[in-house]
This record gives sequence, structure tokens and C-alpha cells, in this order.
Amino acid sequence: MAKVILNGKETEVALGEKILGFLQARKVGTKNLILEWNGKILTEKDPLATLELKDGDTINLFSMVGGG
Amino acid sequence: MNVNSYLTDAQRTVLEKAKIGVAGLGGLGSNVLSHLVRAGIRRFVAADFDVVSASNLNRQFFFADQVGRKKTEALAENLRRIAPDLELDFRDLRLTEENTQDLFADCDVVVEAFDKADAKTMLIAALADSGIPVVAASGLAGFGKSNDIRVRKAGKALYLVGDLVSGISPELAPASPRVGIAAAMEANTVVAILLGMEI
Repeated sequence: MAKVILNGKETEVALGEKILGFLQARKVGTKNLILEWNGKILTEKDPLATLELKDGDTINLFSMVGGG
Repeated sequence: MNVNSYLTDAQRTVLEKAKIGVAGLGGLGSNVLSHLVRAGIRRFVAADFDVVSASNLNRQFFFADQVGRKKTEALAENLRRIAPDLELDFRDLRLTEENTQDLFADCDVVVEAFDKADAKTMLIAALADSGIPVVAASGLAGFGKSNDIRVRKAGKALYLVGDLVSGISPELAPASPRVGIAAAMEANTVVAILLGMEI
């Protein structure tokens, strides 16, 4: 197992877990989701299915909702 | 002449040289621009393809006699009534993944001021690797819960204003006070970035 920090909380993930699988396991949809992954900004346009989580990674999730 | 007489010479120089991009001229964009003009910024690039409608007057910086006019034209007029010598490059067009980077390439900060969530995400994705600071908004519909609206920093150059949950819906409309809070916080964040102040 590896440990990542998700929204400030230590979370266990399987070795080799991809970002998309990690989100799906937590029932987090990728539509209009902004991910901050080790300081890099990702959206569903990025290859979330192939990007692999590593021990110690930091992930913060933000939802874009309509209105302006 | 700078409309804001409360600046130091150094601050005035920074703000007058700055070029700010604004994506969308609705409830967020029109009010963000009003704040930024009054703060002493005078160079802007902005885009919106819409016209002013009566339903916009509940929160947007337009007037009843401007209904039916292009937002780009009406807003330029309103901002020049605050400060006549502004440099306004306002485009009557729809921003897409293809044209967003080019339009804002020489901006110091870009403000995401769209209505639709898909457009908000598109703009953040389009500029994610540009190095240009982006100030975006998510979660500002309804009334009350003023203290839930705040500014979060994500990554090196993304600032998110809002409560991240109050999206518009049939039960939750956008209204002037809360949209105005978010717009003012977006504008305040832009000035803080430019002047190197605490967000």
C-alpha cells in the first residue's frame, strides 16, 4: 500500500493506482473537477487513466459549479 | 490620470502597466471590471458574445436603457464613465479551447467570470500550463452564507473564489449580493497578486 494526502487527510491507496481509478473508487466524478496533484492543476482533459499515484502524493479536489 | 488617488507611486506604476484578462462579462466579469477600474488598473482584454437582457439587471453592471446591446459595447461605455482613458480590448466572441490561450497570452492575470461550469473548467484547463495566474469562481448562487465564500489557492497560479458547492439551479438563483461578494473577492485577489500582497 501507499499513502497519499487527499484534501488534507492521509488516505491509503493500492500500489500502482491510477488517478482515475482512485477517483472512481471514491465515487468522485471527473466532470468539472479541478485536481491539484502535487501542485499541478489537472482536469478531465488530462490522462487521468494513466497517471499513477505515488507514496506521499498530495491531491486536492475542487468542483466548478455554475453561476456568475 | 489615475482614478484611484490613494495609491503610492510604486503601486500606481504596477497597476497602470498591468494587463488583465476577463473571460465573460456577466455578473462576475462586469462587476470585477468595475472594481479593477476603480482600483487603478486601466488595461484590459475581455470577451463575451452575449447581449444585455432584462434578467441581467438583478446583478450585472448594466442599466435598463442598455437592454439589447452587446455587453462588450455597453460595459466599455459604463467603465469609461468611471475612467475615460482606459485601454479596452473587448471582443464580441465565444471563448474556446482554441482561442483562449492566444487572446490572453500577454495578460498578467486572467479572471474566469463565466456563468456555466463547463466554460469555467475549459478556461482553467486552457491556461493551466501557461504560468499566467488565473482567478476563478465556483459556488456563489443564492443568499446568505457570506462567510462560506473564500479564496483558495490551488497549484502555483490558480485562485478559486466561492464556496465550491452553491451552483445555480431552479431553487438557487444568482443574485447581486452574493455574486457581488465573489466578484469583489476576485478583483481583490487580482490586485493582491499584482502588488505582491497577502491573498
